[in-house]
Amino acid sequence: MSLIKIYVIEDDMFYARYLKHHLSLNVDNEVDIFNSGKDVLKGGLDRPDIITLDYSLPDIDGLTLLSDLQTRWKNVPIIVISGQQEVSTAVKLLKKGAYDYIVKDDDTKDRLWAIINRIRENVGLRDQLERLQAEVDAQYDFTKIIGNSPVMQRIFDMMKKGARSNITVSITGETGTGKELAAKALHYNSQRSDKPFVAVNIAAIPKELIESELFGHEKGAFTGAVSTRKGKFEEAHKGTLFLDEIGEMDINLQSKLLRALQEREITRVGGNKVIQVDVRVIVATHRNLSEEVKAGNFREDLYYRLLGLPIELPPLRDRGNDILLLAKGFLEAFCAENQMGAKRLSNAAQKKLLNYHWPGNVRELRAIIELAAVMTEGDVIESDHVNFNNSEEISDVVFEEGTLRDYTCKIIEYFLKKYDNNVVEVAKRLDVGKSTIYRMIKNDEINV
Amino acid sequence: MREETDDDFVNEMLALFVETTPVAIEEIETSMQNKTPKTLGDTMHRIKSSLRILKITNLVSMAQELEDLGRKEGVIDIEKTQRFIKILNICLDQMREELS
Repeated sequence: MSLIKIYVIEDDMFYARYLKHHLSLNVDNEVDIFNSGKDVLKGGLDRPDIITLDYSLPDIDGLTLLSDLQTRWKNVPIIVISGQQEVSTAVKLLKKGAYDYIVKDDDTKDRLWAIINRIRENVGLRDQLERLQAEVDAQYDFTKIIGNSPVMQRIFDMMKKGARSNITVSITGETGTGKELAAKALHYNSQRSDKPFVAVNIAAIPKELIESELFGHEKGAFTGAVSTRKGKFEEAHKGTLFLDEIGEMDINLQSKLLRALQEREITRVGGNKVIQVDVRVIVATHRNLSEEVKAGNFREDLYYRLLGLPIELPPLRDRGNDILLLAKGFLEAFCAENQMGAKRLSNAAQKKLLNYHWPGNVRELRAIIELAAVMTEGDVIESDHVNFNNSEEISDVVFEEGTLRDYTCKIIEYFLKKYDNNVVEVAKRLDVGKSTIYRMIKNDEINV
Repeated sequence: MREETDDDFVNEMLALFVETTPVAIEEIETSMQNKTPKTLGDTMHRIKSSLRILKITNLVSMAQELEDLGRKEGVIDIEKTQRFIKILNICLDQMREELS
């Protein structure tokens, strides 16, 4: 843990020196003594982490000095040490915001030691929290999200505008396009960034539990509700609630969600109390909600309520060179995290990545790059190290644009692979002559 | 973590006590002369912490008693205060000897 700066304000030199000695037994404590209130209030002093204050100083009374110190250094814990044992004094000081109150007696140094250790832990936690917050802010900074393609630039522009207000944002896009990342970026770049970001995947929660998950429940509301529990709306109070796969929500629950969004209040399952919630809502779905409305699976009023700012994330295959930018980004991050030397993609590997159609989008790209990094011994990832999903579908085979002859070759290659290069079996299944296949193999039109 | 037993520190504290206590004794004597029990109580209160740290327990209880008399009851027990000063001076002499 880093050094903790402690100011001891004590007019009794003997006692001050005694405290300094004991506090300095922990080499991480840096202790400075001040013999009067005037000395500590003079300018030019660094902000301390902890102050111990003698209540009875000759130049200024304890309460006034406590208040002055609080104004000077906000949120610095001040431990008052006093010879007075009156409970009323202690209560008064604690009400005024003193961190603790210790009477000068045989246990003073031990109590002070324990209090300071407690504060040290809190300071450590606070520092850790600030570091994590800074990391999160950096991670979701718009400038750090990779994407140079015009379509992504337009999306970043919309997200920046969305982050400035509390408008509901609806994010659509294929699986793996980064809908949750976009939602987090909106949250961490908004004024709510220091408040909770709560994500709920509607599709991942059983239908009968979703209501209590969102709105909470009172003790005894249903079998198994052994205690009162807050729902996600309450957890996200003042922050952002991200409802992923909103299209999967049961139509009966949609009316309750609509009410929560319109009235900004909820009622826990089994409860009567109306609870006010201030929540910014972001929703995402891979479904076409307007189609779902037409099909009667989604309430029209909720659809319009949720529409807000629509952001449609493009599939990776439509993002051109972003594929390579993302691949390089994932590769660098993975190598750094795993203490591997830096690796790069060969031209052939890059071409292979650009020619693939990425059904799993960015999520799939990341997995493939990480696997390729593991499989590569040297510092160059070759085309052979880039292995797409083994369970190749026929739709994948014919995805790339080509001629009928190209498709024929690919289909035969696909079936040969599937049936262990058994030409007879493939010929039978595709209803083509064996000799046709043998000829194509001989002419290197297909690879076996 | 450093060792708590530290001869230098003990000597420093003794020297500090030897240096500061005569001032307190003067204050006590002045309070007796001027008949200001509250001031005497305040001085007793201050010196009490040092006596407690140095574990001179018999003087701690006397100082507490004289502090209460002076601060709460506005009374100076001259005889007891003089006895307090006498014992304190004996302690100071021993400390000076220890330090020399």
